[in-house]
Amino acid sequence: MTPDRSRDRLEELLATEATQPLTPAEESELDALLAAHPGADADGFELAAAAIHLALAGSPEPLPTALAEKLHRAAAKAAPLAATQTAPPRVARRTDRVAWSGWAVAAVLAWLLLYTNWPKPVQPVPDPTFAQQREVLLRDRSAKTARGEDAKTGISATVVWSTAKQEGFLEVRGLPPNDPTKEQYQLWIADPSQKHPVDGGVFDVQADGSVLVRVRNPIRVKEATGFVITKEVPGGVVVSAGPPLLVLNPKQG
Amino acid sequence: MTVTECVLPRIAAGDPAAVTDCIARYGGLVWALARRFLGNSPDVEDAVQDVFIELWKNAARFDPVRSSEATYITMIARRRLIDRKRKAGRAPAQQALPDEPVGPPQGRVRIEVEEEAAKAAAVLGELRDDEQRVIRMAVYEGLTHEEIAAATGFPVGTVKTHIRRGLIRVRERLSAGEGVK
Repeated sequence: MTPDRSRDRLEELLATEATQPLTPAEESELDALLAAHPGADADGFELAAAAIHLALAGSPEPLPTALAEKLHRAAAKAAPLAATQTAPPRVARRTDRVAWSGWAVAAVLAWLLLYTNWPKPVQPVPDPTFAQQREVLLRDRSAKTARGEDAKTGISATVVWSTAKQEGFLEVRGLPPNDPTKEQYQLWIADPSQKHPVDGGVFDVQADGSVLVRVRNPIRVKEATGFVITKEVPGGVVVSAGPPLLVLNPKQG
Repeated sequence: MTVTECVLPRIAAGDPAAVTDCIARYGGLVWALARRFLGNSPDVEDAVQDVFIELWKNAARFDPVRSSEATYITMIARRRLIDRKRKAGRAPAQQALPDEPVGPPQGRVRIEVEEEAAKAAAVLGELRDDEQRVIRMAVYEGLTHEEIAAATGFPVGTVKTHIRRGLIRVRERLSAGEGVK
């Protein structure tokens, strides 16, 4: 394999690895290629995929209390291992092969002693809530409002949207609460410049049927001529085939 | 979020309060990622624990010049979760999960995630529609290249090219001095 072809193959495998599992043969090949190209950016594509994931994901879900407690118990049993910055980044990758050094064993004992006296988590100064951010956006000259209401179902919704800022907030009332493990609501933005409506993000509805969420559009919207709410599989879809639950039209006047 | 506010360097330095902060700040993010990858599987809680242990082991590897803390944590989580999917090799079984929340994600983390999201979203917006669609299917929906090819009608080679090109573009944007401010 020529050097250029070798580097190209390395990049191909790294891009694959960032999005799907490699076969054992591909993993071996990747390790060999990384050894042959010590200056290669082994984590760059994975960081890029992580950033894209953040762009497409909704707001983080709250962590269940029982699981949080489980994590604290696990923390008490396993002290963090400070890996050396100079070590190759793939040493600890996808395996449990990290060697625990002697000082780390001592650190575990120290952690066990300290755990019972850990201070409470630092509480940062609260950031503005979505309601406060929406109020600010409402006062922005570039912001427009779209409303929708279904007299039969009692569902109503309002979107405040600024194309200039690519920012918006959706408030819904009267939607049936959903089980996020089975289905999620999804907002769509009608944009004449796009072949399909633009994904505005998925959201869940609380028990009282209301929700206020930030519009999350991974694609830049050139002109928002309307908004639609549908019900989709968890995580949403790229192109909706479902019927609209509610259509929101820009406020007239 | 400044470097001094990051929790991973504190973990690497042995600050005993840092692990608690890490769970409080990023628990929701890791939980959402695990649910995204594994659905309603009984494996989800173990996966979250696995991710956090991996985070603590790799805390010192976090480089604020290369990415935000949220992006780094998402990378570690994705890595472990993709590995779990490889080992499981099947769709997750459905099972009810406890849903009692600790509380909303902490504010600074939410803002940081928003900033990272905006950065990557800007790059996605520069890609063609078909490229965006493929990237979303691969990165967010977790479809294999072959599954994407079947869903879109593109040859597998084209799918791979779209993914690689999109990742290169985002990587360039992230490496253009866009780390922690």
